[in-house]
Amino acid sequence: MKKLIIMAVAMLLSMAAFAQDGKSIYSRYSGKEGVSSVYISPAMFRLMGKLPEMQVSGENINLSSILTSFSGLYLIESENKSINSSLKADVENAVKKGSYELLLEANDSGELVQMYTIGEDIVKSLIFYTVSGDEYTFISIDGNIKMSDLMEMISK
Amino acid sequence: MKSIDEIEKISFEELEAIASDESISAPDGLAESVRETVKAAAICSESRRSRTRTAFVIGAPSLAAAALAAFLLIPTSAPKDTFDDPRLAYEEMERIMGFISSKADAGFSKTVKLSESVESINKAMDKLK
Repeated sequence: MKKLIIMAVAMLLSMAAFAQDGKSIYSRYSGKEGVSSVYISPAMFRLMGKLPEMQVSGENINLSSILTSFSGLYLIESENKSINSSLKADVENAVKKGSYELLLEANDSGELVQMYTIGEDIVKSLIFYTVSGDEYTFISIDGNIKMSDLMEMISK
Repeated sequence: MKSIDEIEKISFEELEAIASDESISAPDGLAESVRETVKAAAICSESRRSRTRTAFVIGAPSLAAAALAAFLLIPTSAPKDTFDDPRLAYEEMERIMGFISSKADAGFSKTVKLSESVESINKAMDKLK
């Protein structure tokens, strides 16, 4: 009985300690000091898809074509040093456990950019992770995104 | 004296007749031995009940703590939308996609420059051959 309880508690704590996807990483760090977070739900993406075409001044990206293929977005921006190392470990763990493939990695003068995807022609999930000085950014996007659309959007 | 096997074979009527026969005397200390056996059985039963109670006293709070930890630490429901207005969400999406585009483009540019460098090195090597 005692062993069973210890095992159950250890299992629950380990599940909580090792966040494994965008949602759990977002839930773990959202609202913490020095962290700004954004969550856009599938319902909000559907609403955005119904908006007439919009252009924000100064921006040159038209999202209308790609927007309907998104089903969820989680963003964590952290300037909290004590959180950054833990966030880094969680991202590495999520990438490993989620069978993501590295699409892009650039490391220059302390600035790191990594982009991971699941799916070849149709991207089911995307993780974008950057480190710039003390600022760590984690973005996770779910959906059914055409790789060609994604590449086109990134290259603009 | 009869053995236990023999006693087990005796019918209830016969046992009753033997019990009511006053000429047969009970062995010395039998009453005391029976009392002690009954007491020992009662102690064993109490000890078993106490062990179950102790396991429950330890187990119940531990299970409750585990359930509470699961409730607090494991995200079960979807998080709340950051924006209520789809227009604001759209603007934020443009900012985020702009951020991804600028960072990824820088990464791709470095890759292109690197591949161009490798290509020019290869050309130089070919000329030397």
